[in-house]
Amino acid sequence: MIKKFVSSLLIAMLLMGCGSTTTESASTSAPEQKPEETKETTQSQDTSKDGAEVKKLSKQLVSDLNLEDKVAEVKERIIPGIFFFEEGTVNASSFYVADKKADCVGVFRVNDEDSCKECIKTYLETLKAQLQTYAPDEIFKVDNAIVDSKDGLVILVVCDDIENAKSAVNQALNK
Amino acid sequence: MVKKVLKKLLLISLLINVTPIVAEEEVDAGEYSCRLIDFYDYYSPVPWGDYVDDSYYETAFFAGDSRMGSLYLFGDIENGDIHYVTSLNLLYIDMMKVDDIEDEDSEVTLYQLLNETRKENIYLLFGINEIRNKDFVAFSEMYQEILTMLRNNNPNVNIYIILAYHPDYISNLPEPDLSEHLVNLNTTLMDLAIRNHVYYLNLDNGMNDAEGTIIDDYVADGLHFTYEGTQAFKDYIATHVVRREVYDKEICE
Repeated sequence: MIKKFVSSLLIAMLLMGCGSTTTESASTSAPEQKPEETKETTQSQDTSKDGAEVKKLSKQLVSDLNLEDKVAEVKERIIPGIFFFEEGTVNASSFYVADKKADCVGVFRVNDEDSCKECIKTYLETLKAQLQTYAPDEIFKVDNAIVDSKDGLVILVVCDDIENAKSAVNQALNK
Repeated sequence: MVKKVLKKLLLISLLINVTPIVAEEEVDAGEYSCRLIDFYDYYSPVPWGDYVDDSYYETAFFAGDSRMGSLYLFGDIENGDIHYVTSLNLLYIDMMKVDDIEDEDSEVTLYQLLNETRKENIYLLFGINEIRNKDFVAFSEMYQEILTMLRNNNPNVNIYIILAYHPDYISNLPEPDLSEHLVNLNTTLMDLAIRNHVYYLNLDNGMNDAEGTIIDDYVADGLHFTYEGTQAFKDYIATHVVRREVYDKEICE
């Protein structure tokens, strides 16, 4: 009697262990995969399109403003750690920055222009505070930084040639 | 009959799953083995110890921001590798060029130098230029990347993370925000040390005054060390070296 009980218990335990995994994988995961995959593919296509757009524009601005020798492109993955954007507000970004100088060029494709501009403003204030210690001569550039936007595209430029930068940013934003 | 066979098979399969652990224990019980156990307390700053002599610096590599520059300029260390980047933002460590008095056109980055060094004792002093950040998440990720790289390059390397000492003044960051940000930064640094089993130095234990900030005579502008401050910093390093032989114990059972 005891033997039968133990054997039945063991069988039940084994069946429970195996059954649940099979059920989960068969009934829940599989049917949901397709729509998610499609959604992800569309999202990644959009992100990639936005990414190409911001990269092209920032590169063009760097070239137009003759900043090639001054600034270098920052890896995209670290840009959120520089500007502390609110999650989900920036879809794609490209940022060039100078070594120990204030010069920079940033182009951001965003969902929320105001939120992005606010983060840029904080970045510029922090940059200015740092420059007070290490390179006070650069502060005037930060004070004259260009931060402009149109249709979800935000552009930041800090450089010597302020007038030229203004017209280059207007052109980039089709203004 | 079929049922009986099935039951036996199930029992056997269950036993197969359980027996290896027991068998392993039985085998171990019959053998005499020794293991090296690390008893160092990574949750605490490196404790005070006897002075190391100057030859220690031959094994050391110092990397950091302008605060480390003081050690280069006023440390009187001729046999050590000391490299720094003024206004270093750790996120740009692979882009910003090191300050090199002998070669101002040097294109070398601190990241390159850290990747190349095989020194046994590496000291890192980063974070003061990020002190105004609202959080240290990205900073921590980059720091982790550096620690991983150093460990991969030399698994036996001793890494010393130097916490940020409390400066007298930081522009545009008045108290109590400065203290709050310092706590956040240093908590991040301690967390990195604990997670990675690396050492950390807390200069506030010994270099601070009654107000809890760096001793006034040690800094020129509230932040950067004077000659006197640099010598105190050097003394601190020389008296806070982990001697592995004290903490590594061979346990035989």
